Amino acid sequence: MKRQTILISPWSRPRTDGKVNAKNYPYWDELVDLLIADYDVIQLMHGDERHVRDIPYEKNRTLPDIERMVKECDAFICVDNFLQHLAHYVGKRGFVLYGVSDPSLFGYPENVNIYADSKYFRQYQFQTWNEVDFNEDAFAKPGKVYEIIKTHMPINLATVKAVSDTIKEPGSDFIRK
Amino acid sequence: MEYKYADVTAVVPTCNRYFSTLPLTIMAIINQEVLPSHLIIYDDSPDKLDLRTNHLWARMFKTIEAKGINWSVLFGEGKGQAVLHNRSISDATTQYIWRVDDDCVPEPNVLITLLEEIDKGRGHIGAVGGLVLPPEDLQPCPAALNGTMRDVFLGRNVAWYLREGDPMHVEHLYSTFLYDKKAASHGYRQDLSPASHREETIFTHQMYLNGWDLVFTPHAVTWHYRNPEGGIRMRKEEDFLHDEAVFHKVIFEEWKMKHTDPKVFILDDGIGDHYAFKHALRDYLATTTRGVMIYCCYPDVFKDMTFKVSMYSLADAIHLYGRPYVEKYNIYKYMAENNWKGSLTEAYKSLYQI
Repeated sequence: MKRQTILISPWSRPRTDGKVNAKNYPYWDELVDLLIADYDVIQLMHGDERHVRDIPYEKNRTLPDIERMVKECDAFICVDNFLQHLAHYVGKRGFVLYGVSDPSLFGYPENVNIYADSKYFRQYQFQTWNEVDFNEDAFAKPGKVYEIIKTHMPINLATVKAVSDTIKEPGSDFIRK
Repeated sequence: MEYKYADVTAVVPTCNRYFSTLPLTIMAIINQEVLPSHLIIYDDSPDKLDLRTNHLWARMFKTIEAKGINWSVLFGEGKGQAVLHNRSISDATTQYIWRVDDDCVPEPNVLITLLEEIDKGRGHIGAVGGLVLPPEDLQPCPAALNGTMRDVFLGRNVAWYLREGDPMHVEHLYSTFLYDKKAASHGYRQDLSPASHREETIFTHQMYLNGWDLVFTPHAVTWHYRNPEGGIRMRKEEDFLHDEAVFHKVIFEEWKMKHTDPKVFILDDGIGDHYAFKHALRDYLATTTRGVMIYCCYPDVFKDMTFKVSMYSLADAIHLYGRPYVEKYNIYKYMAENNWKGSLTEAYKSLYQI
């Protein structure tokens, strides 16, 4: 059976002060290690962004090229960055890894929006990212994310099962439609 | 002394600027590389002087005569420039009229440059204008300006800004320009106030609508001293309001322009935000016939929409509207101020009321 392709966009725009952007998922290496067993994973890279685990990548591609790649992939995984908005525009569903930003404001209901707990959402959702400290606890652990992805793939088939409204594992991770 | 002349009447309506900018204007006209054969000064001042009795003016008139230019000073009735320019069409005995405001100082090559453009047009050109620059505020031309009537709704004119490059065809002209009397059969509006606000826009655009070409050339530079005394600055606010109402009537009822003023969007945010906005824009474009102008950071996001939208840089927006105005359209500021609970796309729709 042909392996499905997952496009990942791991990083958000760098902070101007050089610190880690609070939107960046801290467990990409571990997550990719799990994913590559079942999927072909390709990273979208821009500028001098970190390359995750030497997986295949597409670097500095134009927006029309990225739109095409998103349309052609089986799913995408990204943080709260531009890719989920681009994917929404071209009609592609995927998985978005949230930390402290609220998917009900910045996400789309057709995606699987994954976060650890809404208690980590920042109080002021519209402040600049330079004002927000990084917190790795705000993110779902890679094992949990991998399980959720496996459950929902293939996500872009017409017959894909509906994403649940909320599925809560006691004391740990949420997914939210 | 030998001079070259052109079959041109220089027309200068004036009001209360005898001893400020008007002498500068007249000297600039009579020091052109090619001289107008005639000069008419229309004096619309409330308290008119016989300038021949003034020491300075008497010598200026002698200089004009020494240069072989036929000159006259005709009195107006205080009804403003539009009436006087209308009168000049019949008073001038030459084919071409070069209208120059009484606080404008054309460089020596202006008339010859305007005439060269007329010549290139082989009878199709109704009017030619050049740069009309405020020396105290020289700025590069915003990319959004293109010489069409849209510029009027943006409140700007290509003539006001430094520009290089070739002459271009436009839909209206500003302030000072050279025109062919054959293209002026429609005359100037006679229902404007003495302020005559918008008179040259209406006059030249009607010329354009009548099938004449209008040309703007950046190679002819006239300095605009924007005299705070006299002239249009004497007029009352209600005069401007009246003229603006006339202008709107002309545009929407006589010319039947529709939605000429474009819908403007300003995006000072990231690529993702641009895409979220694009979704809102797609919905809007499906329902409107208005032109759309987008000032943004990532124009590539809208590459597939360029047949419907005009793209400009965010720097252009800051240049045209100023940073405080641009910051009003910061989507995150808007969301914070409104305690926004909906999606980013819905926030854009709300901000821009689309």
